[in-house]
Amino acid sequence: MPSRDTPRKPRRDQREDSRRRLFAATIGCLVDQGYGSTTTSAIARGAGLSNGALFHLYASKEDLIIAAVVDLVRRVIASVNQGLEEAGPTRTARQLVELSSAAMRSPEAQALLEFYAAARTNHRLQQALVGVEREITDGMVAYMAHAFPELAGTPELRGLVGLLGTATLGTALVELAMGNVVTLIETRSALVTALETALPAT
Amino acid sequence: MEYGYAGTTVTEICQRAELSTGALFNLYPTKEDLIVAAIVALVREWLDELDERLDNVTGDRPVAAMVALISDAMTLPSAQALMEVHAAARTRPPLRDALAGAAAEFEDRIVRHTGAVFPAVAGTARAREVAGVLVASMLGLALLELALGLPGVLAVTRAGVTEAIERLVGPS
Repeated sequence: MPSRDTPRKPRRDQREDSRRRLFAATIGCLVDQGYGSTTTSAIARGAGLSNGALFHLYASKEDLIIAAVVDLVRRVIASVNQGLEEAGPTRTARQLVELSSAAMRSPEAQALLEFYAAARTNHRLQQALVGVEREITDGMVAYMAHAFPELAGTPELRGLVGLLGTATLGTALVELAMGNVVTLIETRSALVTALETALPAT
Repeated sequence: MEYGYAGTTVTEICQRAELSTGALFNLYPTKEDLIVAAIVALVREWLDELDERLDNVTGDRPVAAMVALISDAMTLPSAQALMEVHAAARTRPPLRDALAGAAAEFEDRIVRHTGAVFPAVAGTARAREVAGVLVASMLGLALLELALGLPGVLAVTRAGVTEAIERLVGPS
């Protein structure tokens, strides 16, 4: 079989490549057009794939959007983890707040807000959100416990993760909805103060 | 509110308001004009309701009471409608401006209530900080709980927010 000798990518790599392109196009559509105006044909066009190829990988618009959002969440968590690694062994509440809000302020993160807003009136997305939320919480618990080992396993840890998560989401909501006209510096520094008073002295 | 921003059509609005589409377009030339006018009315209605509730904060854990009252108020239909437009506002400047005013007003009122409940921080930068954390975390909490369709489910988070705010306002 001569085709085996040509440097073609194996089928699995091709599929992975299509997935990556579909995810990027999906997030791009959610950010530019919002959930309601996002169509599978626009996504396929953005990914340089046919509609048929899209539906071969994902049975519906919802399936694709859920997969793309889960992938996004994992990358956002990884970026915070990487930031913490680069910060070295002495981490502060300020670094944690700034890394979390920087992750939520990336253009891509707007797709996550679109997803939350759409889930309220879409049962299929709502069901998937339970898993997405668990993934975010577990990721945050892990990096917070890693950054502040003294808090690992304490009952306060989950409460602080909840505080950091909701406040970061809320500030992102206000900042993104208002088109970065305002950055809530005061709120962020208050959040740092709130966390600092809870964290054991390092 | 039941359909979300994108699913809301002018025809549906007219049927509910028992108006002809002509009568509606005479008052508000575009769907956006109508929605901006509706937001302004909704914000006023919601903030007045919130004010009334927050006037009655008592008990030995006033922060917990404030958190509970604000997050309860977030589940009111008017607040849900506002959360809906939040996402749509990003790409529509007139909606964005209307919401920017609403968020500022929301925070101002929380600053005032914080000062009333905790006289020690009234008029200080700390009151504004407390309000900032409260507003941001309550918005985030509402977005999550509404999206999950499970109001009140994030009890651990609510407790975490309450304890953090208690530390910020100091011993009462």
